[in-house]
Amino acid sequence: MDDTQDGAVQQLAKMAEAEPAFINKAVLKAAQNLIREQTRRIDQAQQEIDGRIWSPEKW
Amino acid sequence: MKTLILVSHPKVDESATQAFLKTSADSLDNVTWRVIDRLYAADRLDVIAEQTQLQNFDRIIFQFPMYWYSSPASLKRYMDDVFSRKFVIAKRGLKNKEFGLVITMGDKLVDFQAGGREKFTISELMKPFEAFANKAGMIYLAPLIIAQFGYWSVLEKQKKLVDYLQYLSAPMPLNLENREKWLLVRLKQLQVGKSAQQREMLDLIIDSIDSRQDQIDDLKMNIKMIRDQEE
Repeated sequence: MDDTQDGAVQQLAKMAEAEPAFINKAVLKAAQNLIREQTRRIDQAQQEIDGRIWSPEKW
Repeated sequence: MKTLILVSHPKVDESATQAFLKTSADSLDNVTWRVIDRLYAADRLDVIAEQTQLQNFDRIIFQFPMYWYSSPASLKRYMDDVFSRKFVIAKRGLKNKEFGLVITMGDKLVDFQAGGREKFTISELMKPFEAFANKAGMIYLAPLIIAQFGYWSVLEKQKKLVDYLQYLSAPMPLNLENREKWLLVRLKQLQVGKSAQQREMLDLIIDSIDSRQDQIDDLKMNIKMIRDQEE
Protein backbone atom coordinates (compact mmCIF):
# COMPACT_ATOMS: atom_id res chain seq x y z
CA MET A 1 0.00 0.00 0.00
CA ASP A 2 1.45 3.41 -0.87
CA ASP A 3 1.08 6.55 1.25
CA THR A 4 -1.79 8.00 -0.79
CA GLN A 5 -3.94 5.02 0.25
CA ASP A 6 -2.91 5.16 3.87
CA GLY A 7 -5.21 7.43 5.89
CA ALA A 8 -3.11 7.30 9.06
CA VAL A 9 0.05 8.44 7.26
CA GLN A 10 -1.88 11.22 5.54
CA GLN A 11 -3.43 12.44 8.78
CA LEU A 12 -0.03 12.41 10.49
CA ALA A 13 1.45 14.42 7.63
CA LYS A 14 -1.30 17.04 8.02
CA MET A 15 -0.79 17.21 11.77
CA ALA A 16 2.98 17.50 11.38
CA GLU A 17 2.53 20.39 8.98
CA ALA A 18 0.28 22.25 11.41
CA GLU A 19 2.40 21.48 14.48
CA PRO A 20 4.46 24.47 15.63
CA ALA A 21 6.92 22.69 17.96
CA PHE A 22 9.95 21.15 16.24
CA ILE A 23 10.15 18.17 18.59
CA ASN A 24 6.45 17.30 18.18
CA LYS A 25 6.79 17.64 14.43
CA ALA A 26 9.69 15.17 14.59
CA VAL A 27 7.59 12.71 16.63
CA LEU A 28 4.71 12.93 14.12
CA LYS A 29 7.14 12.32 11.24
CA ALA A 30 8.60 9.35 13.12
CA ALA A 31 5.09 7.93 13.52
CA GLN A 32 4.60 8.20 9.74
CA ASN A 33 7.87 6.35 9.18
CA LEU A 34 6.89 3.70 11.72
CA ILE A 35 3.61 3.03 9.90
CA ARG A 36 5.50 2.76 6.60
CA GLU A 37 7.89 0.31 8.21
CA GLN A 38 5.01 -1.71 9.67
CA THR A 39 3.32 -1.81 6.25
CA ARG A 40 6.56 -3.00 4.66
CA ARG A 41 7.00 -5.71 7.30
CA ILE A 42 3.41 -6.90 6.79
CA ASP A 43 3.94 -7.09 2.99
CA GLN A 44 7.22 -8.94 3.41
CA ALA A 45 5.75 -11.41 5.91
CA GLN A 46 2.77 -12.13 3.66
CA GLN A 47 5.11 -12.65 0.72
CA GLU A 48 7.27 -14.96 2.81
CA ILE A 49 4.22 -17.04 3.75
CA ASP A 50 3.16 -17.25 0.07
CA GLY A 51 6.69 -18.30 -0.86
CA ARG A 52 6.98 -20.92 1.83
CA ILE A 53 3.60 -22.59 1.27
CA TRP A 54 4.04 -22.70 -2.48
CA SER A 55 5.03 -26.15 -3.58
CA PRO A 56 5.86 -27.39 -7.10
CA GLU A 57 3.73 -30.48 -6.39
CA LYS A 58 0.62 -28.35 -6.02
CA TRP A 59 1.33 -26.33 -9.14
CA MET B 1 13.55 4.60 33.95
CA LYS B 2 16.13 7.28 34.76
CA THR B 3 18.90 8.28 32.37
CA LEU B 4 22.05 10.28 33.02
CA ILE B 5 23.89 12.01 30.19
CA LEU B 6 27.49 12.83 31.03
CA VAL B 7 28.78 15.27 28.44
CA SER B 8 32.51 15.63 27.88
CA HIS B 9 33.28 18.60 25.64
CA PRO B 10 35.90 21.31 26.21
CA LYS B 11 33.84 23.90 24.28
CA VAL B 12 30.31 22.70 24.97
CA ASP B 13 28.79 26.20 24.89
CA GLU B 14 30.06 26.77 21.34
CA SER B 15 28.78 23.49 19.96
CA ALA B 16 25.63 23.63 17.81
CA THR B 17 25.40 19.83 17.95
CA GLN B 18 25.40 19.78 21.74
CA ALA B 19 22.85 22.61 21.84
CA PHE B 20 20.58 20.57 19.54
CA LEU B 21 20.99 17.47 21.70
CA LYS B 22 20.43 19.42 24.92
CA THR B 23 17.18 20.95 23.65
CA SER B 24 16.03 17.49 22.57
CA ALA B 25 16.94 15.84 25.89
CA ASP B 26 15.19 18.61 27.85
CA SER B 27 11.88 17.47 26.34
CA LEU B 28 12.09 14.22 28.32
CA ASP B 29 11.26 13.62 31.96
CA ASN B 30 13.69 11.48 33.93
CA VAL B 31 16.74 12.54 31.94
CA THR B 32 19.57 14.42 33.66
CA TRP B 33 22.18 16.36 31.68
CA ARG B 34 25.58 17.01 33.24
CA VAL B 35 28.68 18.52 31.70
CA ILE B 36 31.84 16.99 33.19
CA ASP B 37 34.01 19.92 32.09
CA ARG B 38 31.85 22.30 34.13
CA LEU B 39 32.21 20.12 37.22
CA TYR B 40 35.99 20.27 36.90
CA ALA B 41 36.06 23.97 35.98
CA ALA B 42 34.13 24.84 39.13
CA ASP B 43 36.20 22.39 41.16
CA ARG B 44 32.94 20.74 42.18
CA LEU B 45 33.67 17.07 41.62
CA ASP B 46 32.98 15.19 44.84
CA VAL B 47 33.86 11.56 44.11
CA ILE B 48 31.69 9.96 46.79
CA ALA B 49 28.69 12.16 45.94
CA GLU B 50 29.20 11.35 42.28
CA GLN B 51 29.31 7.60 42.93
CA THR B 52 26.16 7.81 45.05
CA GLN B 53 24.37 9.79 42.38
CA LEU B 54 25.32 7.38 39.60
CA GLN B 55 23.48 4.62 41.41
CA ASN B 56 20.18 6.48 40.97
CA PHE B 57 20.23 5.96 37.21
CA ASP B 58 19.31 2.95 35.07
CA ARG B 59 21.01 4.13 31.88
CA ILE B 60 24.27 6.08 31.81
CA ILE B 61 25.31 7.79 28.58
CA PHE B 62 28.74 9.19 27.80
CA GLN B 63 28.32 11.90 25.18
CA PHE B 64 31.34 13.44 23.49
CA PRO B 65 32.95 14.54 20.25
CA MET B 66 35.51 12.01 19.04
CA TYR B 67 39.03 13.32 19.65
CA TRP B 68 41.80 11.17 18.19
CA TYR B 69 39.59 8.08 18.16
CA SER B 70 38.57 8.46 21.79
CA SER B 71 36.86 10.93 24.10
CA PRO B 72 38.16 14.33 25.19
CA ALA B 73 40.45 14.21 28.23
CA SER B 74 37.79 15.26 30.76
CA LEU B 75 35.92 11.96 30.36
CA LYS B 76 39.04 9.89 30.98
CA ARG B 77 39.78 12.05 34.01
CA TYR B 78 36.22 11.51 35.28
CA MET B 79 36.48 7.75 34.79
CA ASP B 80 39.84 7.62 36.57
CA ASP B 81 38.53 9.74 39.45
CA VAL B 82 35.03 8.32 39.96
CA PHE B 83 35.29 4.70 38.85
CA SER B 84 37.47 3.46 41.66
CA ARG B 85 38.16 -0.24 41.97
CA LYS B 86 36.23 -0.27 45.22
CA PHE B 87 33.14 1.30 43.63
CA VAL B 88 33.15 -0.62 40.33
CA ILE B 89 34.52 -4.04 41.30
CA ALA B 90 34.13 -4.53 45.05
CA LYS B 91 30.78 -2.80 45.50
CA ARG B 92 29.52 -3.55 41.95
CA GLY B 93 28.17 0.01 41.94
CA LEU B 94 27.32 0.02 38.22
CA LYS B 95 26.18 -3.57 37.78
CA ASN B 96 23.23 -4.19 35.42
CA LYS B 97 23.00 -0.54 34.39
CA GLU B 98 22.78 0.19 30.70
CA PHE B 99 25.76 2.03 29.29
CA GLY B 100 25.59 3.98 26.04
CA LEU B 101 27.83 6.23 23.97
CA VAL B 102 26.64 9.19 21.93
CA ILE B 103 29.56 10.16 19.71
CA THR B 104 29.60 13.28 17.59
CA MET B 105 32.07 13.73 14.77
CA GLY B 106 32.89 15.82 11.75
CA ASP B 107 33.92 12.88 9.58
CA LYS B 108 31.63 10.72 7.49
CA LEU B 109 30.49 7.55 9.21
CA VAL B 110 31.19 5.59 6.02
CA ASP B 111 34.93 6.31 6.47
CA PHE B 112 34.92 4.08 9.53
CA GLN B 113 34.99 0.60 8.06
CA ALA B 114 37.48 -1.95 6.80
CA GLY B 115 38.86 -0.58 3.55
CA GLY B 116 37.50 2.90 4.35
CA ARG B 117 39.58 6.03 4.89
CA GLU B 118 39.84 5.49 8.64
CA LYS B 119 40.13 1.68 8.32
CA PHE B 120 38.56 0.88 11.69
CA THR B 121 34.92 0.74 12.75
CA ILE B 122 33.53 2.82 15.61
CA SER B 123 32.84 -0.44 17.48
CA GLU B 124 36.54 -1.34 17.23
CA LEU B 125 37.72 2.12 18.29
CA MET B 126 35.38 2.19 21.28
CA LYS B 127 36.53 -1.18 22.65
CA PRO B 128 38.02 0.38 25.82
CA PHE B 129 34.52 1.58 26.79
CA GLU B 130 33.03 -1.81 25.99
CA ALA B 131 35.76 -3.51 28.04
CA PHE B 132 34.96 -1.18 30.93
CA ALA B 133 31.24 -1.98 30.66
CA ASN B 134 32.07 -5.68 30.68
CA LYS B 135 34.26 -5.37 33.77
CA ALA B 136 31.67 -3.26 35.57
CA GLY B 137 28.85 -5.71 34.75
CA MET B 138 27.01 -3.11 32.70
CA ILE B 139 24.90 -3.70 29.59
CA TYR B 140 26.75 -2.10 26.68
CA LEU B 141 24.46 -0.45 24.11
CA ALA B 142 25.30 -0.01 20.44
CA PRO B 143 26.77 3.53 20.20
CA LEU B 144 24.69 6.28 18.62
CA ILE B 145 26.76 8.22 16.10
CA ILE B 146 26.01 11.83 15.21
CA ALA B 147 28.15 12.41 12.12
CA GLN B 148 28.44 15.71 10.24
CA PHE B 149 25.57 17.46 12.01
CA GLY B 150 26.36 20.68 10.15
CA TYR B 151 25.30 19.13 6.85
CA TRP B 152 21.95 17.78 7.98
CA SER B 153 18.70 18.85 6.34
CA VAL B 154 15.65 19.65 8.49
CA LEU B 155 14.26 16.18 7.75
CA GLU B 156 17.49 14.51 8.85
CA LYS B 157 17.50 16.61 12.03
CA GLN B 158 13.94 15.48 12.79
CA LYS B 159 14.82 11.85 12.25
CA LYS B 160 18.01 12.00 14.31
CA LEU B 161 16.23 13.87 17.08
CA VAL B 162 13.83 10.95 17.52
CA ASP B 163 16.72 8.44 17.27
CA TYR B 164 18.43 10.36 20.08
CA LEU B 165 15.31 10.57 22.27
CA GLN B 166 14.78 6.85 21.85
CA TYR B 167 18.41 6.15 22.69
CA LEU B 168 17.89 8.06 25.93
CA SER B 169 14.50 6.75 26.95
CA ALA B 170 13.15 3.79 24.94
CA PRO B 171 13.39 0.19 26.12
CA MET B 172 16.35 -1.59 24.53
CA PRO B 173 17.04 -3.03 22.01
CA LEU B 174 15.67 -0.44 19.61
CA ASN B 175 13.72 -2.94 17.49
CA LEU B 176 10.41 -2.21 15.77
CA GLU B 177 8.35 -3.34 18.75
CA ASN B 178 10.19 -1.17 21.30
CA ARG B 179 10.26 1.85 19.00
CA GLU B 180 6.51 1.40 18.49
CA LYS B 181 5.88 1.29 22.25
CA TRP B 182 7.95 4.44 22.73
CA LEU B 183 6.17 6.29 19.93
CA LEU B 184 2.73 5.39 21.26
CA VAL B 185 3.64 6.94 24.63
CA ARG B 186 4.86 10.10 22.86
CA LEU B 187 1.71 10.30 20.72
CA LYS B 188 -0.42 10.02 23.85
CA GLN B 189 1.60 12.82 25.47
CA LEU B 190 1.05 14.89 22.34
CA GLN B 191 -2.70 14.70 22.86
CA VAL B 192 -2.45 16.95 25.90
CA GLY B 193 -3.53 20.47 24.99
CA LYS B 194 -4.86 19.50 21.57
CA SER B 195 -8.43 20.05 20.35
CA ALA B 196 -11.02 17.28 20.80
CA GLN B 197 -10.89 16.58 17.07
CA GLN B 198 -7.10 16.25 17.06
CA ARG B 199 -7.20 14.03 20.14
CA GLU B 200 -9.71 11.79 18.43
CA MET B 201 -7.55 11.65 15.32
CA LEU B 202 -4.51 10.70 17.39
CA ASP B 203 -6.56 7.97 19.09
CA LEU B 204 -7.41 6.50 15.67
CA ILE B 205 -3.75 6.64 14.63
CA ILE B 206 -2.65 4.97 17.87
CA ASP B 207 -5.23 2.19 17.31
CA SER B 208 -4.06 1.80 13.74
CA ILE B 209 -0.39 1.42 14.82
CA ASP B 210 -1.43 -1.06 17.51
CA SER B 211 -3.47 -3.22 15.17
CA ARG B 212 -0.67 -3.28 12.57
CA GLN B 213 1.70 -4.47 15.28
CA ASP B 214 -0.77 -7.26 16.20
CA GLN B 215 -0.94 -8.22 12.53
CA ILE B 216 2.89 -8.34 12.34
CA ASP B 217 3.02 -10.53 15.46
CA ASP B 218 0.41 -12.95 13.99
CA LEU B 219 2.27 -13.17 10.69
CA LYS B 220 5.57 -13.79 12.48
CA MET B 221 3.96 -16.61 14.43
CA ASN B 222 2.58 -18.16 11.24
CA ILE B 223 5.97 -17.94 9.56
CA LYS B 224 7.61 -19.58 12.54
CA MET B 225 5.08 -22.44 12.42
CA ILE B 226 5.66 -22.96 8.68
CA ARG B 227 9.46 -22.81 9.12
CA ASP B 228 9.34 -25.28 12.00
CA GLN B 229 7.47 -27.77 9.79
CA GLU B 230 10.06 -27.47 7.03
CA GLU B 231 13.14 -29.61 7.09
